[in-house]
Amino acid sequence: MRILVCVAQVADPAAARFDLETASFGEPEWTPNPLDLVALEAAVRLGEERGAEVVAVSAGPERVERVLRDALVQGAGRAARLEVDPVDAFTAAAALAAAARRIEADLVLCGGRTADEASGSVPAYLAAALDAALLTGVVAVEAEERAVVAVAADTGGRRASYRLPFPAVVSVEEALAEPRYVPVLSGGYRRGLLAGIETWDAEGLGLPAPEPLLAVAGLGAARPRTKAGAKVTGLSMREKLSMMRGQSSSAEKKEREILTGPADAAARAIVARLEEWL
Amino acid sequence: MSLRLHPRAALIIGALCGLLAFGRFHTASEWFSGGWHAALVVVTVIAGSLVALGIYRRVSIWLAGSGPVRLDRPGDRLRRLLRLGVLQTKLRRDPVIGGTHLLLSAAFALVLLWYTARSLGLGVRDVPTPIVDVLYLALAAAAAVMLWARASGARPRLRRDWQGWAIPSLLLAIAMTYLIDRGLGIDASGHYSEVGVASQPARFAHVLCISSFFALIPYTKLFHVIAAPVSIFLANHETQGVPPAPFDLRAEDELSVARRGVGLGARRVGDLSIARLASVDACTTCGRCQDVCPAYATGKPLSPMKLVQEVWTAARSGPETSLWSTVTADEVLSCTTCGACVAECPVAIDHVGLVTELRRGLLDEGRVQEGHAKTLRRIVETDNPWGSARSGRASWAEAAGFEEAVEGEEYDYLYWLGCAASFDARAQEIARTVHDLLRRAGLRVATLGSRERCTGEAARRAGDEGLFQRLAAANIEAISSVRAKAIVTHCPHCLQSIGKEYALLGGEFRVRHHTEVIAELVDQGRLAPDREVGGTVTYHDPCYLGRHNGRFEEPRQLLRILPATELREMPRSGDRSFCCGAGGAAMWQGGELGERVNLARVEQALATGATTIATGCPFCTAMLEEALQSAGADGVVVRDVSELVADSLGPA
Repeated sequence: MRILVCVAQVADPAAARFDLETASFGEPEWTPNPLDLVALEAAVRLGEERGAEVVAVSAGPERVERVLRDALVQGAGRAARLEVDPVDAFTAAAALAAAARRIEADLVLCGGRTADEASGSVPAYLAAALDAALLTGVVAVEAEERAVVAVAADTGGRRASYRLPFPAVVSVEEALAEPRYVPVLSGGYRRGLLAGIETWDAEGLGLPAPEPLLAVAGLGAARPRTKAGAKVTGLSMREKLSMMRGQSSSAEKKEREILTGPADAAARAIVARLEEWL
Repeated sequence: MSLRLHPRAALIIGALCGLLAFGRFHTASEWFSGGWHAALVVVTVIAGSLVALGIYRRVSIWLAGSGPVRLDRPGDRLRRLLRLGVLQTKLRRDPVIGGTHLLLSAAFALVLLWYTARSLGLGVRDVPTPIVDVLYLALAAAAAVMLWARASGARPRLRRDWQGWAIPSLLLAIAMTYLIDRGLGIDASGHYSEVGVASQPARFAHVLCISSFFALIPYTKLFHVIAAPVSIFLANHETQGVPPAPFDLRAEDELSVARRGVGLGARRVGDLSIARLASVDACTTCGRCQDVCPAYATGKPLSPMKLVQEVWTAARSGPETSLWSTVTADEVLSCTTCGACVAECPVAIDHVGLVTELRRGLLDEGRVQEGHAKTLRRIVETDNPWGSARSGRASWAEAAGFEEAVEGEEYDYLYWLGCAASFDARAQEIARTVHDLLRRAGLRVATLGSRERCTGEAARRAGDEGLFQRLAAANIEAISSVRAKAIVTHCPHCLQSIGKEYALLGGEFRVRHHTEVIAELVDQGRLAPDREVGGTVTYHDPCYLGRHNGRFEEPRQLLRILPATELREMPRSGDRSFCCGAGGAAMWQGGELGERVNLARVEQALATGATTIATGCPFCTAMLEEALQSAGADGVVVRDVSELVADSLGPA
């Protein structure tokens, strides 16, 4: 059995910095996509149980070799960088599909979505390109001889179990597995550090020049969610209780208001409102 | 390989010399005649060969360990050999049994010296025989006490196996046959004749017993007469508990370490050092370590003695043998690294160091205990074992009124807060109190703020040397940027890391525990605790403050000066203190096997009748408070020593 694991390098959302003066993001901090590491962990465990070969691939420039190094340290047997520019989910999936064909992968594992763009459409494109069975939202997986049995999380905590004959694409959720802790310079770490990273170019993969399938037509401003609390100061214990039971008529109605316009004007408006209340 | 042949050759030559000396004594003696003499030669040659072969085989096992053997500071080593080997200070921590052992070994050594000198013709004939008689009487008495201690069950730790009975019996027989020979050899005129024929059978029995004794040495625990001095001499005191790592990430990058192919820790017998194997071989299964082990006392799968024996069993199967063929991960993970075993061991075995090497070996194979894995990952991600946001460190300290160190300024103390005080509410109370006391005494104190990280102490105990070194490197750099006369910390684990272990990575700092600093301020009259606190206090020695760093006195000094407060010691105190259960990264395993160590300790504390348990470590505080709650001991509280001093000072 051969398993291809797609590991993307994403801009760390926690480390994102927005420069107010230039109104632009600084150079992102690149980090492995957390869900892809979950997929990798599942693949490595299948590899340990069934002797499967685990190949980690990532599409992008040289900087993605860092996540491939991480993948090797975490237990991938081989790692290859796909020298293509993944301009959108579709082109990324096309490159990954070509890699899966190249190694004749039985199973492709990937995270359900990336932490930065989170389109979540790569697994679907990938399955379509490979003409493979697809299951998304997977929280448990077991391998058989020529198939995987995977459990998908449905809404409302429901679980459904499916048998997917190979070739199959499985996209995973966090609950599937916790990536192992590999101590610095332990045996696995040293193996990962010394392993080579292959480079597969677009020509070798038989890929055309990447062309985005989707074009961004426009970006809208973020719509902040509002949650308004009722004023409770000055109410008696009995009034508060009846409010909690939803019987209150005396309590003031919840107010909500969305401020639009430049940030400094909005901030001034908020301060003014707070002063008014206090 | 050529290096290894040297000691082997020396060994063979040594054995031959011994055989010759032994033989010469007997052949030259006029004690035996005719057939007795021939029988004597046969006995001594057999015994001599058995001794030489046995020693050769055991020492060969040591030499399969990894080198090099460190012999630096020979003066210190000799002094330790004198203290532990000759004066037997560790053994005499059990005065009756230890004293008996000292008497026995001294008598035996002197008799042996007398025989040897005599056989070499060194004019000891003039030594009056009654002196030798007294030595033999002492030997007999000591052997009898040894037998009594086993028979009566006075020391349950003493093994009642065949060796346990045979060795003292043989010693008794050696003494008795000599004394019978003396009795039979006295002629009518009341003089003892060495050539007397009547006493020859007894004299032969005497030589037979001595020969058997020597022949048994390399095949029984008697081998400690050879291995113990070697173990004591080769022990590396300053790296006790944490053997040096196989790499130094300040001197070499990870890739080059990986290329060298060195493992993180011990996985096979051959990964252990020659000194370690010799020390393991010196174990006599006396059981002192097991008696004091908190893990053993609470029914965990660890006995330090059993662990040492298991390592030796593996060692006897050759250097390629996996240590995991006899040792289990649960055993190795049950250790709290409290060091009670090391403090007791008469033959200088470093059980804690062995455990650390084995834990590194487990990690090397990717076998990370579940709780440890989670904690280590949290440390990697957030620089603290709780996984709290990094920003919390500086923001709490700022809110609590701590000054952050600024470059160019000079401070009396850099206050190392540690993760506990940065992220745990109870430890924060302690840190506030300590800070307040230092400021009241007029000291200028600053913290590192957000530049402080986990010291890596727990990571190192768990065997994660690489993570420890990464954290240490960052901390060494941050500390070095501040100008302060010394570092003060209320956390003994930070004290251990920064004060002792960073030195191995080039960071030499003077670190003091807050109780030391406060005791000094009281001495100087800069703090005057004179208000009555009252109550009865017992003091729990944190392992990393007491046993590992030798600070037993200062906290007690502070407790004693508190007006109207009585200090009552637990039987297990000072260097015999009983762990709280948190050390050695045990805190982070998320549960423990067997009974809980902290409950056992709190029971000991409650037995003193004290209403306050004083201590000097945020982890001990947490463990003891949690145990008091579980035990339902209302009205008993755990206080840091500094808090009691602050109570006695009253409001500023």
